[in-house]
Amino acid sequence: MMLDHVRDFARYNSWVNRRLYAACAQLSDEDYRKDRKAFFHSIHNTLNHLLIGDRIWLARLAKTDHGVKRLDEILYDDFAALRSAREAEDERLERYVDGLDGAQLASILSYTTMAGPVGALPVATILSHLFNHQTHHRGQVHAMLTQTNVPAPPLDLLYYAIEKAGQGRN
Amino acid sequence: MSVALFQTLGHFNAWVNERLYESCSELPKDDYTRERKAFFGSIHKTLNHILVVDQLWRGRIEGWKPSIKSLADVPCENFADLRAARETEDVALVKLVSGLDAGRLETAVGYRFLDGTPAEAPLDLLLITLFNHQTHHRGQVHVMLTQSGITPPPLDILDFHMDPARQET
Repeated sequence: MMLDHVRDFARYNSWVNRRLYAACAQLSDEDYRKDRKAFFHSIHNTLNHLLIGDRIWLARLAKTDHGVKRLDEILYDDFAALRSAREAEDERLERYVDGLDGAQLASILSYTTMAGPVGALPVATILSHLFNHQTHHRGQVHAMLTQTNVPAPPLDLLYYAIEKAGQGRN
Repeated sequence: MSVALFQTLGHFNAWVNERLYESCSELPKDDYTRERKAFFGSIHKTLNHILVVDQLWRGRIEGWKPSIKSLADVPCENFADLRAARETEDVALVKLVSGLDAGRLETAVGYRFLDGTPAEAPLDLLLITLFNHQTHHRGQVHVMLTQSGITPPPLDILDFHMDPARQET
């Protein structure tokens, strides 16, 4: 059912972010910050954007103030600090979905968009957007990684599922 | 996992591929086929790879075998053919998810990897893998597009839900 799906996906999300950050940790500072003409320019800026997107949505879901002014804000200029914040955010997301029940998942959340107007969507739709948004930008980071000399790891959901099931098969 | 989720993802997928392909159609041929050190090289090869993997999974789910030798196969040599094949594939994927029920989602699908190794996984895991895999590689194509000076419209699920022109699910 849908609850199991969002809980599994939150765990995949933590797993895949750890993989991607482990690869990014091997980059030189120059490669990490280089403007590669992605939508958010660099690996550094794209990873910051992902954290911002998640913070905005988790704040809306928790009905707290996200405090974010811009989608291209740099929350952490230092990779180590960004990595710690990413891990904390992923744990927070896991805790959030673990605390959900079916009724909350189906409920409609009203929120104020960055541009001002009010939006309203089911929580399940918001979570599916959040997870898809992460995969999209991780794909961008992956494409930027393969343009460096650091190997880009496979990030497929199936690899996570197989590792979790302990089958050890690619 | 819910049937409704996959039906929405099926329609989102068709909608977002149309958006991405429309942006790719604006590229000069050189930019479209240029080797850019993405995992599958170019925009052309990455789009082919997505199609290849979708057909592999759909074949495994529906019990037929596409003639695919490698994940790097390029079944469509030119963009127009690839675009037509993509549209056909997306219609087939929407049809597949339209026919689902909750019981079937939990059933195990037996399949073989390209090297012949047998494997088995529940249908819902295979479908979420398929849709997530598409988004991953569309993200790669997005970088290669902006590197060519073309910024596609937003590819987010949120924009799909907000688009008045989208197909109702």
